[in-house]
This record gives sequence, structure tokens and C-alpha cells, in this order.
Amino acid sequence: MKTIKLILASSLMIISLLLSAQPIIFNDSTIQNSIYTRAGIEPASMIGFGYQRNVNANFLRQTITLYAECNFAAFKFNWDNSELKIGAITPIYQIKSFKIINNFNLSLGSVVTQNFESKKFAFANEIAFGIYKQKWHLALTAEYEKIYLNYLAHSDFYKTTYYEDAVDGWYTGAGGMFQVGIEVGKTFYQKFDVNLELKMPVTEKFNAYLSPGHANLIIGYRF
Amino acid sequence: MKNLLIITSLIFLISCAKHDFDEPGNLLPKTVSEDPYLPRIEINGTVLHAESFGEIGNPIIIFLHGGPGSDYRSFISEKGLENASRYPDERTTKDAGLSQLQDEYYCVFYDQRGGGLSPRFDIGEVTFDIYLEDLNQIIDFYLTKKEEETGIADAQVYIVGWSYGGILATGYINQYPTKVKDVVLYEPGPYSVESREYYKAQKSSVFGEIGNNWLEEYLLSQDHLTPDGHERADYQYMLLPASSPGSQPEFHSDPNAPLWRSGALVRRENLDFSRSENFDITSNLSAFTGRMLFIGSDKVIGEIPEYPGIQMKYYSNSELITISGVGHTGPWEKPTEIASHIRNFFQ
Repeated sequence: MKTIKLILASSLMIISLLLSAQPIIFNDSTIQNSIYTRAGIEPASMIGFGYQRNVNANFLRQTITLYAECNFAAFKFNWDNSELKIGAITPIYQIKSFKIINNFNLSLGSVVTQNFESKKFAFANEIAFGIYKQKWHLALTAEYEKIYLNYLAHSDFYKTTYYEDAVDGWYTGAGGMFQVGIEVGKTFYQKFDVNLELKMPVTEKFNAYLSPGHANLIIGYRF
Repeated sequence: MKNLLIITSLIFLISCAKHDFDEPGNLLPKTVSEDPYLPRIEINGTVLHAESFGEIGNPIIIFLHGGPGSDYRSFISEKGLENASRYPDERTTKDAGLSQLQDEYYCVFYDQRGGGLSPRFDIGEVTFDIYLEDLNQIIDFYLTKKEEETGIADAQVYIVGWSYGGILATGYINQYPTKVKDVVLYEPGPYSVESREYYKAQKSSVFGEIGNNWLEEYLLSQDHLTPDGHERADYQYMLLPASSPGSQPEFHSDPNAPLWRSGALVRRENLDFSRSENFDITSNLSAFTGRMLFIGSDKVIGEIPEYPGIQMKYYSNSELITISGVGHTGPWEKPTEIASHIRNFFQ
């Protein structure tokens, strides 16, 4: 029984680590907007809320989906443990239903721990390639995220118990992360999207994380 | 235009004032590799952070800290007093913690390689055998020093091991049974398959901790820095001892117990045999003619009541003492009481 629970918990953790997709709306000319919510693990348990909008980029001769989303730690639901993200999704290559999609985003994150508070600035780029039909899509994804700047402030606890000379301030060199995964999405009743994404993360030097996978389940509404 | 200037200036200022995660001394104290003023000992091809207290003519006690990868700071600090600075000159209390035994003993403390203020080592560079050889050379160093300075030719030392230090002490006695007179182990880590399996059966799974504060903090921190460098890995790992009441509730540790650095990479080595199916550091303990004192806290023994008995049976002459009102950080919480037991036992 204990083994089964362990397997179930492991599976849940792996699945939850892979979910980070969002509804794909750039190929729907009947609507312009979508709101969505996500729940998953990446790597902590997260709940997110997002908005995206199609815009016609004449200079690219195609539609770009711009988006903004806010993610919160599910079990520490406050601004101290959150992430704001803005980005753009655009197809960069397509033959009929096969598409290669680029998703670029910038993020600002915050975390408060027993030892330190960190604000991070990061950028990420994801390439997804797969089949994108009007009502469903299936794609493989590859993503790289680089943390390019942090602001660290150490707690009194940290300075008293561990290191009194810990330096607060701006830091570079926090590293980056690769993720590869699979993403599926389906649209119901022309308005409602359900997406699932599973990803395997490694650091940019190919070290493992405590959590072996990221997973997100997204539910969206088009209008 | 004005706004652009302000933004450009801000970016310039930030880029000038930034620090590097991996630069020693920013997030964690420098080790003996970077700080020439730290007290040290050179043995077995490396330099280790070490210091000694007391008169060399007195019996020698070698203190072995926990971890693996932690350090001896809690051994020489004391709850309610100032935590021992990494600079001996900056300590206002010179005999805090178990270093108070220096009035009767020559007390030797060192950070095992890979931990505390001793140098960092990459994965695969530290083994249990190297730890044993480090300890053996440290013992020889101080026995030689004693003979040279006092003319007293001792062949034995006392050992006090705490947590993982108990595994190391047992492994050492198993290999060099005649070099240790008596040993005191404060809640030693499991040094046999039987005691390890018993302990693991009482411990909760990490998957059951999903949603708990300590795990969420640790996971969220991974979004802010990766553990690719030694400094970053150690810094991130320091979240775990800080959250010990959540991550290891069965230890009942006081999270304020200080340490200088916990070596994250050395913790990934199998130095405590936790990933070994078969290991043996007890089969030669029958050759040890000394005594072993097992000191446990009432809180931890309350969680794993059969554990002391399982551990003690490997020593032919052992005693058990329980300290009330503390947990696994007992030597830092009640050092005077524990020092008193050590004095009585070693006499």
C-alpha cells in the first residue's frame, strides 16, 4: 500500500511538473481574447491567472498572441511568492497543420524564505512543434529560461544563525534551466480550452532538480 | 527623454553594483581555501578548518560533527549565548558549548572535508575511507604534538560523535579499535543496516510533505537560483537545516542551532551509507575494549524508542543516558548537562 501511494504521489508530482501550457488562440480568427487559469507544479505548487490577446502584426504578416499572467504559490498564496509574466506567441514556420511556435516571455518573480527574500528577473524562450488543428493541438516543447538578475535580502535569522556578513543586493549568475516536454490542448464548445503540459527540467549544467518534472493543467475561455 | 535617462541610469547603477552568486564570501562564509586567517590543520593532502582548546597535556577529545557536510559550530556555541563567530578573535565567549570541557581535556574540533569552513570538493572526490584517514591523521597529529610538547606518549584519544559523527566514530573504531579509549555518541546516525531500516520505517516520506511550508520554500527557491555552483548549491541547501522542524520533525531540532555552512555536494555522496544495501562498519567492534555512552534526547527517543538498543548492541560495553527537554540539537541546547555526563563517563 505504501509503495502504491509512493508511485501515485510520484506520478502526481511528475505530472504536475510538466504542466505549463496555455490555450493556443492565434489560429482562431473568430475571437481576439482569452482568459485562463492554470494549476500545477513548477517546481512548487502553483496557481496562475492569465489573459491573452491576438494582435495582427502587419510587419510579420501574421497574428501574434500577446499575454500576461500572474502565478502564485498554491500553498503560500500572496504577492511575496508570486511571478508576473508577459510574453508573445507566434508561429515561425507552418505547413498545413504542422507548425513551429515560438513563445518568448519575460518574468518578474518573488519568493520569501526563512533565509532570504529574492526578486528575480528572467527571460525564457520555448519552441513548440506539432500539429495544431482548429480544436486541438499536440506538440513537443523545448524551453530555456535564464535568470539574469536577482535582488537578495537576507533575513535576521540567516544573519544570526548562519552568516552575519551575508551581502544583500543585486546578484547575477543564478543560472538557467532547460525543459523539454509535451503539450496537448483541446477546445470544447468553441469557447473552452483545456491544456495539459508535462516537462522535464534540468539546470543549464544538466543537474537535476529535487522535482523530476513540471506539470500544468490550464482551463481557458475565449471571447 | 527624461524617463529614458532615468531608466538608463538605473540599469547602469544596477549593473555596476551587482554581486556574483558564486563569489566566495557573498552568501556564505569563506572557507580555509579563501580565507588565510581561519584556524586550520594540514593533513592527508588537504587543509581542514580546525582548532583546539585546553592544555595539550590533558587527555585528548576529538569531536566529530554531524551531517555529513555540516560543521562544528554548534559544538562550540550554546543556546542563549552568542553564536561562535567564524573568527576565533571575535568570539566573546571562549568556552561555550562543549568546548567548556577544555578545563580538563584538550578538545579538538575540525570541519570534515567538504563541510563547514573546510574546503569544498566535487562529487566523487570524498569517500568514507577518506574521512577515516583524515580522522586517523588528525589523531596522530595531536598525539605527536602532545608527545613533542609534554613528553607524554599517549596512544589513545577519546571521541565524541554527534549524529553523523557517530557513524564516523564507529567506522573509525571498527578500523582502529585500539586508538580510542572510550566514545560518547549523541544520537548517532544508523551505523548498521538494521538500525538504518528501523529508522527509515519511522520516517515520513518527502512526498507526504507536499504543501508544507519548508518544501514549498525549497521548491520556490529553485525558481530563483539553480544549484549548479558550489556556492549556490550550499546556499540553497541551507534552507533545509533552517526548516528542520518541518523537514525532519522526528529530530525535534531547534532551528536556531548555528552552523557556518552545510556542504550540499558532499551530502550527495553516500557517506552515511543511506543508499547502500550492504555495508559493514561494525564487524570488528568486538576488538574495541573501551566503553560507549549513548546519549539521547527524550524527544527523539520518544519517536524511535528501540533505536538506542539496536545501536548499542554493537558495542560490548555501552550505557544509555537520556537528556530531557531537548531534541537532536541537545549538545547546543544543554551543553553543560551533557558535558557533565561526558566528564563522569570519561573519568
